[in-house]
Amino acid sequence: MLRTVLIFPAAIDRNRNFENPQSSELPIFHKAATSAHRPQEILIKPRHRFLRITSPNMFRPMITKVSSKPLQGFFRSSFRQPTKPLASSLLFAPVAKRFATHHATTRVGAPVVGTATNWPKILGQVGIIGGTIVGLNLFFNRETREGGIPALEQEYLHETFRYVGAGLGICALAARGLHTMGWSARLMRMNPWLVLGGGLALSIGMLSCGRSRADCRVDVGNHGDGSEE
Amino acid sequence: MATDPRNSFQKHMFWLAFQVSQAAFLAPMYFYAPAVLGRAALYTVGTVGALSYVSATAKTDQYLYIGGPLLAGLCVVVLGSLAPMVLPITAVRTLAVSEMVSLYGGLGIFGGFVLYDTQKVMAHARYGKRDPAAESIGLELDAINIFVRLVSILAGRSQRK
Repeated sequence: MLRTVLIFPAAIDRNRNFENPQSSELPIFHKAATSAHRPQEILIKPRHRFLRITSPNMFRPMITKVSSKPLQGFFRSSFRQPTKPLASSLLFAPVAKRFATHHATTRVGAPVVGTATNWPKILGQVGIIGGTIVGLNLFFNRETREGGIPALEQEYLHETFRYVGAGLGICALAARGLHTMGWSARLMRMNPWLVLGGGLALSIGMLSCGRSRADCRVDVGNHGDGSEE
Repeated sequence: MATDPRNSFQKHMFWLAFQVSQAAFLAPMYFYAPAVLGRAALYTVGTVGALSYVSATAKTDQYLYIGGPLLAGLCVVVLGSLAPMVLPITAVRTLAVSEMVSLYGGLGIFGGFVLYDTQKVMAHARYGKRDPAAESIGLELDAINIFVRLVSILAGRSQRK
């Protein structure tokens, strides 16, 4: 039951750019560099707040030509949610500028380092090879049961996995349908606490209503009373 | 709040309603990273299939003991996932750590849950329980959680390039 909590971060995203739903990031702009002929702006794509917040790459700059359309979208969306994006852009502006200039200089002027030994890469490859050997060894030499899976358990497992597959298929189709109906845009405009609470209540409600009662079992043992979470 | 397995219609209606309720809150994934959804689904099928195969062919009840440690780890992952709701966005370093816990820790925890749930289903079969629609929900939540994490890992990687 606790596992249902974890699927919601995608839905409770506050910093989404709703005006331009085709773009998946919220652009934050600030003027940093101007060339001689043509003004350029540095588009900073912050990584996603709820799903991907990683500090070192957070202010990764990309030098891009910027049309006025997403800029309008940004200002409109910041008008709708006045505090957050504005505050964050003000707060991060000096850091981003520093990273941006650093990026620009290294990109233009730095000589290619060339043939120095790339230890992290070698270590990574050694790790992959070693991990594969250990993993294959563990897989093929693990202890298995004698004489295969009992027919009853196997049949029940297969039946359960048929339900899992059907359920995931229905879930994917329904998500696709709801998305094309415009549901996800509406969902992301809602209050995230409302989405989290409502989603949890609905999921856990359906989950526990569909569960079987504890006395439906033939044998009552210590295991598997279905309430371990 | 429970349904007798003999009441098949009601059971399946609740099962269906559960799927739709999951779909309703997973739909924003199509906004988030539509390009990697197919690949993440493929990886999810591979991960869940391999782990449940290992679990099904292991000795009887071999992985049932990890239920307790998994629940403890799950609590940490839940707290890591809820941290962005309560922490201010200025707490960048804490948020980065909680995101790592939520992504990679969650991937490990739910891999463990696939092992555990598969053996739990087999144990239930031995105890004579017949309710595959209700059993499937645990495994399905594991698959969905693994999928969500793979999508955000893949989307992060493709953006970093």
